[in-house]
Amino acid sequence: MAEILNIKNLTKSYDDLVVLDHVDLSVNKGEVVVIVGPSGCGKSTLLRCVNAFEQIQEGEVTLHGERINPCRGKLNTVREKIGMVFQSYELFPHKTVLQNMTLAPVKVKKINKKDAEKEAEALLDRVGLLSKKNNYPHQLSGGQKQRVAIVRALMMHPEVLLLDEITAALDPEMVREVLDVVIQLAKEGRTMVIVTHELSFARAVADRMVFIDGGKIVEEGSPEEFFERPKTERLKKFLDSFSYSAK
Amino acid sequence: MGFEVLLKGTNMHRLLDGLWVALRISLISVTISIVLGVILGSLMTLKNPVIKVVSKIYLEFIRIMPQMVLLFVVYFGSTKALGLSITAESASIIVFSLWGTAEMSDLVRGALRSIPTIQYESSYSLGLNTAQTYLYIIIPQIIRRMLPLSINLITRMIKTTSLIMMIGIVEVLKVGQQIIEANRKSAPNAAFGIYATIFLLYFLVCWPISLLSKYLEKRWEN
Repeated sequence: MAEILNIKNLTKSYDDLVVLDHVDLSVNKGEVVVIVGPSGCGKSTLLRCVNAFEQIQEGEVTLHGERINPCRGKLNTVREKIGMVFQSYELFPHKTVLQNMTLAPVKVKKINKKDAEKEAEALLDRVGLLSKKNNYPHQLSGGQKQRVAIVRALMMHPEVLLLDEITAALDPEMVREVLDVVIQLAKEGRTMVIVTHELSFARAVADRMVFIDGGKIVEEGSPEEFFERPKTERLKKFLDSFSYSAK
Repeated sequence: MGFEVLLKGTNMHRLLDGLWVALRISLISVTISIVLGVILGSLMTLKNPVIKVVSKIYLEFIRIMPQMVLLFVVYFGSTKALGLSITAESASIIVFSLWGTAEMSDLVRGALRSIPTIQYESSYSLGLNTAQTYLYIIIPQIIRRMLPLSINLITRMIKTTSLIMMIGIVEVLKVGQQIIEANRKSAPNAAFGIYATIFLLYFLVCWPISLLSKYLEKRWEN
């Protein structure tokens, strides 16, 4: 499989605090990599480093062999190829759903507005939100906003999609509708790097699981191995902390 | 009641001229305040310690000083102490702009800071560059947040122009007083009618502005 994204020897620190400690990770085309780990382990920071929202102290991130962090060229042309969805949706509150989706394709890719709208409508239809196309974000539920945020990212035809705890801010009954969309995308063969706390979702969607703790990748492997036969004590403990079975 | 005095000669016309003087001074000051306020407000969001201290002193000074004292200082003070000869109208424009710039900059700063960093990142992650992000994402949101409050400031500035007669500008209130004085014998009760008319004129100017602010606030409530 062809490698798309490569993270090599990445170290990120704030002053003395090392958040990511020499992390190596490579993502192949069409692969879904799910990163889990305790809060504050650096998993969200890792995603932010990929998109060059964080300066890194050591190592590099490359997309198709082209270095994107530290970035020499124009960051915006790099970010165009990397879609990102945030925990807090971050739709543009002053724009309708349709405007949210067509803004970047029209302004950045210079796509004809009519074509962009057509594509946006098709995507909205797929996630069951076509009837909301002229609504403003504040008129939508959290789950609806997040689905819009996902299809908004898709409008730029990114090569990699980064999903940063996209269900963490949602009410439990809305988690499903968002995760279903992501599972669909995985089936289509989208390349994704997902940070999440939803372990059952992770298992369903992942091609490869990665466990980060203390700024290091502690363990990685296929979902089956990862959940059924964890090799390290730390991962066992982490997985145990999610199960409530009486001992 | 004194309303009949207004119909005598050019009285009503004079009153409207006076109103225009007040409005002209407010309009010029508001324009200057918006331009300088946006610049200063944006500078204030940079974390430069010098800008921080200077702007803080400036804002506090304007907040504490009564506008009338400021008018006297600039008009009477500057002519005598600095040997500058500025017209009363320029003096009022300076004072009102100083005041407006301070308040506008604070509004701009507040609006800029109220937009979370992640909203910028959300825009960058779609491939928009910095200029596009400001143009399409940040500035429209800032304007929406600021406009109702800035319009409120504009009406306050228009109302406060009634002070400028204290430095000898013949604006609507002064014209009113002159008319009352001139008709003291023939219409001793003119004061009520004249002042009521002035009240109404101020109301007619400020009310639509206030309505506009309410309308925009409602339209942009998201």
